[in-house]
Amino acid sequence: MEIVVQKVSFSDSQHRFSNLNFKIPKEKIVSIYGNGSSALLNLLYDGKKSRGTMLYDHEKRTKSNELFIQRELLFLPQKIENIFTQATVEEELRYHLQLRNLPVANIDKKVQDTLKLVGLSGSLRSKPISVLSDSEKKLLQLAIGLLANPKVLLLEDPMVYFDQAHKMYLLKLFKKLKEQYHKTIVLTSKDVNLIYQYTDYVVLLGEDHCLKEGVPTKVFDDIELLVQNGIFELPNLLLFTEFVRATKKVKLSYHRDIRDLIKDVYKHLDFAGKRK
Amino acid sequence: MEKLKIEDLNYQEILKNVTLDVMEERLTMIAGTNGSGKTTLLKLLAGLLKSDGEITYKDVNEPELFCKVGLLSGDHGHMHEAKSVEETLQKTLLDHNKTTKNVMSIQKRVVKLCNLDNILHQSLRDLNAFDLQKLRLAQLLCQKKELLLLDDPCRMFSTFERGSFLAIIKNVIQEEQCTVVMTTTTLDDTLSSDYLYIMDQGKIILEGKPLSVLKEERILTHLGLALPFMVDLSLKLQDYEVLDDIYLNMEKMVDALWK
Repeated sequence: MEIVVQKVSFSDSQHRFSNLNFKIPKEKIVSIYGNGSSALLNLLYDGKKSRGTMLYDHEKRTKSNELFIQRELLFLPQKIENIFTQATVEEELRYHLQLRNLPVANIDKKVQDTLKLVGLSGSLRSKPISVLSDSEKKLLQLAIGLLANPKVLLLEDPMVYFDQAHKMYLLKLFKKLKEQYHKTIVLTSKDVNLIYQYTDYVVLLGEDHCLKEGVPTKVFDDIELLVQNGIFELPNLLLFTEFVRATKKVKLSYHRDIRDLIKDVYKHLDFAGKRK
Repeated sequence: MEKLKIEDLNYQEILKNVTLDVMEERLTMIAGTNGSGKTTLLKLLAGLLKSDGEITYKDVNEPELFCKVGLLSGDHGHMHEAKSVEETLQKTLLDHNKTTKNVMSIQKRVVKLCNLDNILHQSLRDLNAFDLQKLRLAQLLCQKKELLLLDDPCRMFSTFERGSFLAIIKNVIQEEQCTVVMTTTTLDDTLSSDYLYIMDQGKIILEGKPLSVLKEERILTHLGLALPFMVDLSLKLQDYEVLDDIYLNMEKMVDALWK
């Protein structure tokens, strides 16, 4: 699902945005980065307190179709405490299937498949939720969200509970959801390296507006502009390239993979420096 | 001096023969993936779980140790209280001090150490994860905890916040003579540690000074941990035989590459 935001203004207790214009392209992994990114993610789900136009697959959001649009969206807040109501993993999944009136031919299989999809072991089924680790709880939260088969996943800082290997697993899962199930994934993160290296499209926020949007290498290419707008944390790969360009006048390219950067560095070294 | 000793600690199926020597007034880190047993280990040290191994701290064990330990987790959720930061600190101080004599001076010192000056009058429900974590740390200091156990305290933070929180911890160790054991899943954090353990499936598999541990690229990436950017870059450039050392400073590395 494509979401287009036109001339939208809104404010909450901490942020004030006026005249926001950006789009969430469909079937991509999109990241929102900068101060107020959580508020903006929330806006995509619940636009009640905003003024302006929001289009979901070209359909304008109004008071009357609001709930229908929300049915296609999944909003997962960052927090994982007090979000489960049942005693065990299995009960929780069954409860949500029932709660949302989701017709399933084989409930047992559905529970198993749902756990498998997010990479949770089937042996967790009978475990009390209270003994799960934080990362397992986060995966369970995602699994429950996916039961309703939403078109858009709005994920507030979904990576914080995970180690690198799990992050890579989740990114692979997002890719699969995007390519095979045509989902659009929107996430926020404080990890600018992750955003730069692994997301397809970035919506970059300045103080009170959308500063830039597009593919990561393009969005982050004007460091001066970013710093002027209060964005001080920049991707390591980009900083290294910029630093070499500025101090050594060596024209390295912008890379999103460290191995490509290394090859590029090697290509640009004087021959004498290569073999010691 | 080693003041916290853990020998052959086992816990259910989670921890296997864990032995740690934690140096006094130092920052010891334990890095590992999700489910490697880090949190369980800290809970045992904190006395929240009952252990069968030997844990000694400055030659005292359990009941006394229990009062000297402060545990800080990475995630406090959202506070709904309207109380201000200052009020929260004052309450903690009064709860833990018999006289009100020194309260003001302790409060002043702790506020400065934890960088709380500019949020003193904010209410808890408006705090972000970073400020809330600093407040929690300040509360442990108000309680005069000597052994601080920090369970992945930086996981909600941005890179910049990580750096400043670790700087605060370093400062606290020096000023308050605390000993800190901290866990993390992010190897970037470990560059600030004095001594580093790597844990996997309940076992300690590597230990040493951070840079010597981080050289074990193959083991660490196999576990699913990502090396800090500059370490990663240095090691990969070493593979190409164009660098011969680990450079943490970008300027020095670039100068070594293009003389």
